[in-house]
Amino acid sequence: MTQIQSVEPSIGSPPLPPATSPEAKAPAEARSLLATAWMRIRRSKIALLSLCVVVAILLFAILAPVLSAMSGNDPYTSNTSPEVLDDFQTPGLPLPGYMYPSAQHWLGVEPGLGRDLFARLAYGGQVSLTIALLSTVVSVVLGTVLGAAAGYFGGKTDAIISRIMDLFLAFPHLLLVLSLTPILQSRLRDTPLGEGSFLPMASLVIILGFFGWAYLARIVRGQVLSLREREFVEAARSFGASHLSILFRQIIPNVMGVVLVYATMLIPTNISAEAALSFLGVGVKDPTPSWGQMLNAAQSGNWYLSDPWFLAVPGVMLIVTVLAFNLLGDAVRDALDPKASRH
Amino acid sequence: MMTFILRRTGSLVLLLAAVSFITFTLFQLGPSDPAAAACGQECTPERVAEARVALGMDQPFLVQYADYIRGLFSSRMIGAPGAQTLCEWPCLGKSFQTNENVADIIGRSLPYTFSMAIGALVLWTISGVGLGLLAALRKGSPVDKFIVGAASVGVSLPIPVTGLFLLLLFVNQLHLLPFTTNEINSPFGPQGPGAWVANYLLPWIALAVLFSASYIRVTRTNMIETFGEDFIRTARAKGLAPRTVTFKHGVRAGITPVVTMLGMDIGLLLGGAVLTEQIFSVPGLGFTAVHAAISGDLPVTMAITMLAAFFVIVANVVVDLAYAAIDPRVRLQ
Amino acid sequence: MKTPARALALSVLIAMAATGCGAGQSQPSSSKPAGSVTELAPNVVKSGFTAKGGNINVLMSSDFQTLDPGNSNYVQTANVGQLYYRTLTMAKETAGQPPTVVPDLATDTGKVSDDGLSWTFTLKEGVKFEDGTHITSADIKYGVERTFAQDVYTQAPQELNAALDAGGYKGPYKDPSAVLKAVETPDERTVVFHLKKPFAEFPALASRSNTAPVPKAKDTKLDYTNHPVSSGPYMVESYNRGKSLKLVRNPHWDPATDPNRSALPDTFSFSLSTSQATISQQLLADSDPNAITLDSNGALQTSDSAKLADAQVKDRVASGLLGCNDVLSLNTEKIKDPDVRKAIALALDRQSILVQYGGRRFGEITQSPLNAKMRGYVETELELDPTGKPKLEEAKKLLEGKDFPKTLTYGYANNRDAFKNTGTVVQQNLKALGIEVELVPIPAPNYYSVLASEQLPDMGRSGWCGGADPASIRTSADPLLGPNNEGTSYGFSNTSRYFDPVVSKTMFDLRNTDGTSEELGKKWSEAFGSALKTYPIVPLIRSHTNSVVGSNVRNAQVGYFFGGIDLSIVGVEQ
Repeated sequence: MTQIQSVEPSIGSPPLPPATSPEAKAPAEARSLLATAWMRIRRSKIALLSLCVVVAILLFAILAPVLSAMSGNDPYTSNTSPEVLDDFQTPGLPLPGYMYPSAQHWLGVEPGLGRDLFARLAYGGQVSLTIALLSTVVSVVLGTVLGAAAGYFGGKTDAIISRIMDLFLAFPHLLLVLSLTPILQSRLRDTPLGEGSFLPMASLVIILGFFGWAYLARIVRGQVLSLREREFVEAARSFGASHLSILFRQIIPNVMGVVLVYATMLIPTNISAEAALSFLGVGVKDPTPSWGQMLNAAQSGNWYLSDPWFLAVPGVMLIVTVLAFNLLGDAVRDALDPKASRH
Repeated sequence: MMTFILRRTGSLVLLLAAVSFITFTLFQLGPSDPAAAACGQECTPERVAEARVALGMDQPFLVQYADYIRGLFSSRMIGAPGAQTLCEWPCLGKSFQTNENVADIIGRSLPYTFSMAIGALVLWTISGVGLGLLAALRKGSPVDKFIVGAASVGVSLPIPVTGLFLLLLFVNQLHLLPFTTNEINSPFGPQGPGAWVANYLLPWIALAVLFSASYIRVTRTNMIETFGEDFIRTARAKGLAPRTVTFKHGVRAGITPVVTMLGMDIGLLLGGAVLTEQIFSVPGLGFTAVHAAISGDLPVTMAITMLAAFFVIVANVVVDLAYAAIDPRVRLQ
Repeated sequence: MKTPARALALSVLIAMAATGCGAGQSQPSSSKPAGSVTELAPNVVKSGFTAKGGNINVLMSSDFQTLDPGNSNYVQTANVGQLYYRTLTMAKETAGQPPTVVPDLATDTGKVSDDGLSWTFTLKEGVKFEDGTHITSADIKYGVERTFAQDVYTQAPQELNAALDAGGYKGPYKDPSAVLKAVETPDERTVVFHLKKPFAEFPALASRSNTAPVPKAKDTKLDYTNHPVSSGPYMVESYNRGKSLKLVRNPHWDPATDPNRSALPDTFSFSLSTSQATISQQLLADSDPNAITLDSNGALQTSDSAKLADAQVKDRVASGLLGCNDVLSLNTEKIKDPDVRKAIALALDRQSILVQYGGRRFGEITQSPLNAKMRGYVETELELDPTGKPKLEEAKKLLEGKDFPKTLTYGYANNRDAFKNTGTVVQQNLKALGIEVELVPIPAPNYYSVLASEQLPDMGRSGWCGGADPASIRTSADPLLGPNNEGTSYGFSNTSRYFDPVVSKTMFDLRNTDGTSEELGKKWSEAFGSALKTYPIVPLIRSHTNSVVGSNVRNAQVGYFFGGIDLSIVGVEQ
């Protein structure tokens, strides 16, 4: 099997292929697998630490309104008065008291519009993480169902789904997404999804989700191929269970381990992809904040050359988040696939 | 073997046909109208109609697609009646923006993309495989732990952050490296290989940091796995020197997944590293595609998308072949 | 049918839209005392230089859309075009001022017949193409003929053609037997143009690239851009599309026939795909002492502004005000009440908007898109604060008891941050009036066609640069707020959809009025002023461009029309 490795902003292909040794078990055993996995995660210091960081970041994003209110700011109010932004030497550059962290602005303010950076980082986290999580859900659901269907039914169903997978894996994702996002956004504008800041979020979720399923589907298909001849499936079939029932009750629960591993690895990939697309100007757009949009703002007008701080704020946040999710993903994989973890 | 190649080539052609048709359709649906873009503020309806003729967009969709495909096989004439100009084979259309043959645009972008890909590739393969091997040999040691940790960090560094940081540090602050220039796209140019390296070093590093992390992990995992396999144990038991075992048997078998990865990555990278090219303003395929997409230059975006898909699909086939050649355990079915 | 003057201005708009120039012009104004006047005075870098020789490197972020004079509405092409094609008359640039129309290939700026309907030009003796053949009136006529083929040349400039009595002529390709009767060539050196209506400013139209001579035998149609046959001081030696262009001296150009171009360097080398950010850093660092750029705003990024005052930089900054103005148009069909529009205008913090454009070095806050240097200009008093501060209390008072829209859309071209950020400022300002603003990005290439369509946003920025004769008020006033060709509704490029039965009728009648440019200018100025007082558009910023040049570059001036370094007079120290 060939694996698609992520180039640059990888869409849908996590940095490492999850282990693919299917250890088929009856549904009840699958649940105990999770319990064992959790035991193993609790024993690893790195796993626990990354879990804590992930939880902290999620809280930071969820509590964005509270935290911003505590600092007395919001992410949209601009302040371009000459007391805040230089209007003479470098017009738009925050003046000394506003550039770096202070009691009033915990991370200083943005150049140009003078909005509070802390509030934008927190609200931006909401946007970035929502996009990453939802698009992962979309990919995982599509990938699992289609992959399982291809593997279980075989024959024509398999051939058709497999060709579609090939097609999706062959497309240069980023290029296509670059051209597709404006198309999708213009089509979504008149629907309920097209309201203000929902529009770019909805379109990114759809696009990232839609391009991320093929790789997982391929893995799931492989697993299901070996599963469908197992005794418990045979048994269910002989009791007259319908195909759908077998698929959802017997087959899919048994590939959940692999799916879970893939999902945890897809999240950081999607966080990076959001950042990449928004950085290129096709994702989330000002005034809606996201971490990618903030990177874009730091680069526009070369502000990051005036002061690296503007790059550091979203950059560090992004790296820490992706790192924490990646480490957590490793831990989940190791825990669910004892064979891989023993190395 | 022959049937394998034939079958793969057949599916390659089918896939490309599907990719081209889907791309062509998608771009027709775009929100920007190239004809209206051509005349800007003076776009009275009559003028847009004339622009459509000039761009060949007055034809029915399927005719446009058929003409496009025809151009892949032979030269054809393009343009309004009475003022057609020749588009030489391979004709991928002419740019809406500059009327240049798209094939020429791609031809001049490729050397930049190659320059970026080659250096990055060498850098990350050497560092990735080398460090991965080292970690596998020193399994469990502090060295191993450090390398694995570094790989985790490396794979978590988004290109926009590393790219901008490298530019800021080495070009803007330390002045260690020159501003990138489009004069250099080959180590054999008049400026020499040194200038070539200096020009592309930062994008290479940015890409290599991200990529080598995966290579470290895959190499390490597979080497450890291979070392545990029967034929290695047999080789050891037969009294072969450890070095011979490691390199002759172990690496050969354990490297297979790495070769697979490498093949796919080359395929992807040749289609243009969009972000990296954008950040370092290297006018390769990715950079050109982004600009074409922004300015509504359909034929250019279209051609680059197809070319990139072509590279990925070909890489897939090549990888499968190489897979069989390297690993004695694999036979093509 | 478009009236000529309107078309003239229109084409410049297109040029702006296409090059990102209109959008891309820079702006400043200062809230600090003093400053702004001296700050925006034009600066020519090391003028008075006369030595010939050397090479100038022109850094550009992208290739020219075209070098074909018959297919170009781009200011960049017009600027470089001065080097390889000549026209009957020429718009000669002076930094900070509207250009003046002077004779070029012709012996004078044209002689008009008594009825005002025919203009006659006589070619100078000794003018030749790069291959040594003489330039004849037939070559001029063929050049004009090509620009009628809009189904071949989508960018063909139309302002001259619209003035001509050309019937349904469609260019020389589709029907080679068709004849363009509006241009006559009684002998090898005489060209006569026949007009639909008298047009006092016709010499300016003759300076457009339509009148650049094209030898029929060498017309390669759309491929002509690869090697336009030179009639100017330089010719194309090599053109590597998307990468480089090299211009060398045209041995058959006779300086005695051409007092307008000093043509100092021996060669011009264009590098065509360096990114803007890189160009600005290279120029600021003087890493190539022979370098200049033609990118809009001198390729400068907002944050580069501070460096313009550095000791190593400040003597190398060519600068000047441009003819380009940015305004905020308000859709008068959506925001019908002039008092509501006025309230919106008063609530705007135009100082903050200027900051988004890069601050005081990149433009000045204006009270009118018309320029005091235009012929016949009459000032209109608006209640906007001249320093750009909002007048929030007055705005709120205007809205008391009014029924006004509570949500509005602001559309912006998605190719420049300043446009989007301006929307953010507008959003914030109007919130104080209880109006929610939604920002709608529009693909930049289609921006103006969206503005002219039913998808028109409620508010939108538009740019305006004047025309080939930027000193004429009509070429700004008519396209911005004028009626359509029948006088029954708003005009095609009138994006605020302003139509007032009285004022628009006055403008319509003015189009058919004969008189001197000065007299007409005054009347246009007054009509435009009465329209402006109902706030269909809010004047924002007049562009000022800074362009840093290498330390060996001499005579570098920023053209009022070109918005970049004027290539016809620039030189280099060796």
